Amino acid sequence: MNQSKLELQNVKITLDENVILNDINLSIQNGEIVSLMGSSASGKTSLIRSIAGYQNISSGKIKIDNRVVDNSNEFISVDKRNIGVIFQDLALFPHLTVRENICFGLFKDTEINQNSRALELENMLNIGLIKDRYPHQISGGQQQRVAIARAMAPKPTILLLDEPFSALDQELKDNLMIDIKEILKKEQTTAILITHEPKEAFTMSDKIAFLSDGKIAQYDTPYNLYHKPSSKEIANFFGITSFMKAKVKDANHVDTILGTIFGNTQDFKANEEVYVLIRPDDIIHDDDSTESAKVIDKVFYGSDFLYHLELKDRQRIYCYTPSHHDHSLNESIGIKPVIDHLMLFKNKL
Amino acid sequence: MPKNLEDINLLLLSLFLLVFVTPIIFIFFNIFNDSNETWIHIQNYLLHDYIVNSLIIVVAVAFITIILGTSLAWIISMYNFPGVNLFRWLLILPMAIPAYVNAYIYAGINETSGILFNFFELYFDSGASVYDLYDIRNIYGAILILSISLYPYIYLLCLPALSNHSSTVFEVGQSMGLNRLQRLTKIGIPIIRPAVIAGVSFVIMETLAEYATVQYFGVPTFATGIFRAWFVLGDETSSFFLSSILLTLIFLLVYFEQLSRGKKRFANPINNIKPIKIENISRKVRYSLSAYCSIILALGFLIPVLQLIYWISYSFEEINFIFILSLLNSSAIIALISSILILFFTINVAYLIRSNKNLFNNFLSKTLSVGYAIPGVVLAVAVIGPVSILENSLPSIFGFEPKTILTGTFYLLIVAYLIRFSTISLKTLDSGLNKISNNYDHLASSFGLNKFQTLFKVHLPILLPTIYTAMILVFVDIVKELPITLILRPFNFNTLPVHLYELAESENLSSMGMPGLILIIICLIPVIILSRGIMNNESK
Repeated sequence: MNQSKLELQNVKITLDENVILNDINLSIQNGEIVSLMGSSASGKTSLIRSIAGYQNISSGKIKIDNRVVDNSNEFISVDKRNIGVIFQDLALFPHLTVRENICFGLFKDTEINQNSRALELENMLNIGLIKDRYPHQISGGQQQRVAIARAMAPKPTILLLDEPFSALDQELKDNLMIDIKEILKKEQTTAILITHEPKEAFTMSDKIAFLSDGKIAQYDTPYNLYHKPSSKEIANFFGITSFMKAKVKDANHVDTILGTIFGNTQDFKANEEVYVLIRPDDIIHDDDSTESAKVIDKVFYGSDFLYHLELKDRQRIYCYTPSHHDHSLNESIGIKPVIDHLMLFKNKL
Repeated sequence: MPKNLEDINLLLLSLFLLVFVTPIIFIFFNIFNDSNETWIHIQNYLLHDYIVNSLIIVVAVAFITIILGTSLAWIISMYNFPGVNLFRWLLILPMAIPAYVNAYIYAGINETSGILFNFFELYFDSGASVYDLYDIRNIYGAILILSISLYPYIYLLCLPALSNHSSTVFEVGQSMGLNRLQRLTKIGIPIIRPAVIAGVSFVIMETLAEYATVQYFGVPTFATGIFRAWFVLGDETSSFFLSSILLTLIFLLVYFEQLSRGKKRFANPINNIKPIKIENISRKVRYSLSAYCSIILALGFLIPVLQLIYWISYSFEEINFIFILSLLNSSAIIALISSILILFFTINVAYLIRSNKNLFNNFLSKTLSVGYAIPGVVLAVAVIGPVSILENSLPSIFGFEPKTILTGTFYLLIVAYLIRFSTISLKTLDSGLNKISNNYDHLASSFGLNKFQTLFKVHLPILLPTIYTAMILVFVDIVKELPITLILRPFNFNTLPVHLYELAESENLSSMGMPGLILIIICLIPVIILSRGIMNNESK
């Protein structure tokens, strides 16, 4: 059975007398990768700084490996928590080579151990060939890999990554994320990642914690955050959304203009007016369908078109369609709802 | 840092701070002194001259340096003309010649060993009439000398202020229908104003502090008055009183400069700056711009250096190399000891402020940053004052013969250097440390390093180039320092500037060639470092 690596209990964080986060409860299992998300100034960085120990909490409890590291009275400082950190600016030591950077945190170890650990990480991250270079002599992506290797070298209990990919271009990022995920899993490292890119969080993490209004609004798998968001804010944050009017038919169905849709309606009464969350991939283009909608706008994304469609009752929804289905504006096209997870909201906005 | 080490360090810094503030407080305390006979004499016959002369010189020098500094920075960054890239850094060179050296040179230039005299004598047979034509030893001469020596400070600050802004800000102005003059007054001047204010307050401070130039030209100012009250009239009280007035003025100036700067630091938010586009100008204008730069460069650097070389050839067989070497040696030793001490303390202070912002640390950094504003003459008097009072009163308390314990020793000299030049070192180190992201500290602590280990394993190695720079800047400033050394030096202790001063006092200008040139060469080192900094900034 997995044991909890990090445990936050009723954590409250204040900054200059302002309450940034309140009543935070979070439990992360050994080896899990968790993304912290939320709008800017939602307290992501404060939370991560408190976990690392750069900042005290004002009440509650933080436990790492079942040991209390901060309960607002007792406080174990950063240097005794065995935390690994990777910052946005990476903070590679300019006066040290790649190898020396990687070995920096291993200063208490013997030289032989240091080198074998560095070698191991260099191989895993594909930076063996540049080990004698200085940070300014290597590319941005390589610098990122060195920062990861340096943080991983002392086998930290928890690795904290504060927007580490934000300076990279997309292609580099994709490859790097896959490699990092692999190494984290291989080393069974528990990691917390701050990011504002849904795609990064989806690729990297086992779970996502979404912060809103000083609280954790939802803590769930990436799949559920996308398809079963607990609030409209989360729904909007993770992708394009549109809402379609509906009426609750019974405990398992709602009626919409596109027909009856199956799903859980338990939180609502029969005949209640509700709105159904529609992701662009919930609507598929089908020429044989009896339902149709008018194209009012479209955006070309290469492999797909994003169509903005107007239903017969003038409601508007989005729809992804493979790009060989090129329709012109004002044309009517056949559509079909494919909604596996019915998400209902009381209001549209 | 281990607790006891931290305590020792704090104690050391407190002592350092005490040494630092005692002279300043002492001087200010003297503003409440009762007046005596000498003071009444000064007040009746001299004070008026001190105030008027100081004021005229300050205003005139400020005005001329602003004109020179901004106009040169403007044309260098806005126009393309022959030699523009060369002039960009050549125009900084006058900084390498201390004002008093320029004063001696320009005073000697139309005398029998001068290049001007000899040029006219040789080609026009009219050296004597050139000699009679003018005498520079007056207030106008002082203004001219100080202006050409000090304009680079304004030029140096305006250049990056102009170059760091993309030409697009002017193009936007143009697109909105601003004409050339409006672009200057509505965009150009506001952009460089903070730099000009910073530069001109530095120029004013240096002008008020200048002793040797005005002394040699026979212009009584506050600085010469303080010196005269102490060493000629033998009245310490009056010199303390004059010092307190001057220091108050200067601290007010520092205060207003900080105030006016406020949050107005214009940094362009965008990093990749496209170099300012050069406007189209006619051939004639282009050559006159080159000529303008050449004239300033000639006045500020080429002519003085030429004159020194001429003096070397004029009296080559009289040059005592062994003596000059011994001057260099004594200068170097004291400058080295002082700059190492300064580095030790300022690294400590800079790091302390970085890692822990509390009241004590803030006070420490604020105090250290005013040191450079204190004129050398005032500082010397301020350091010697409390010590001589102690030395005079202790014997009567403890019943032993009066004797000098500290006055006339290297200790006082080093203390004065410490107070004046820590500022430069601290500022340099501070800007270096500020460039090191806080994340390095965080990272180091995540690996289990304490603050002390972080300093030695992270900050010092990264900071090493900055430390070298700070060391060189302080070292050279001490080597070329005159009034403090002149007043506080131990008996028979000579440095290059003191030697030049003595040569000038004995009207032996033609022997200045070798020591003067060596001093300028030493002073060129930090100037080159500074100019390299600018070039790098601009090419980035």
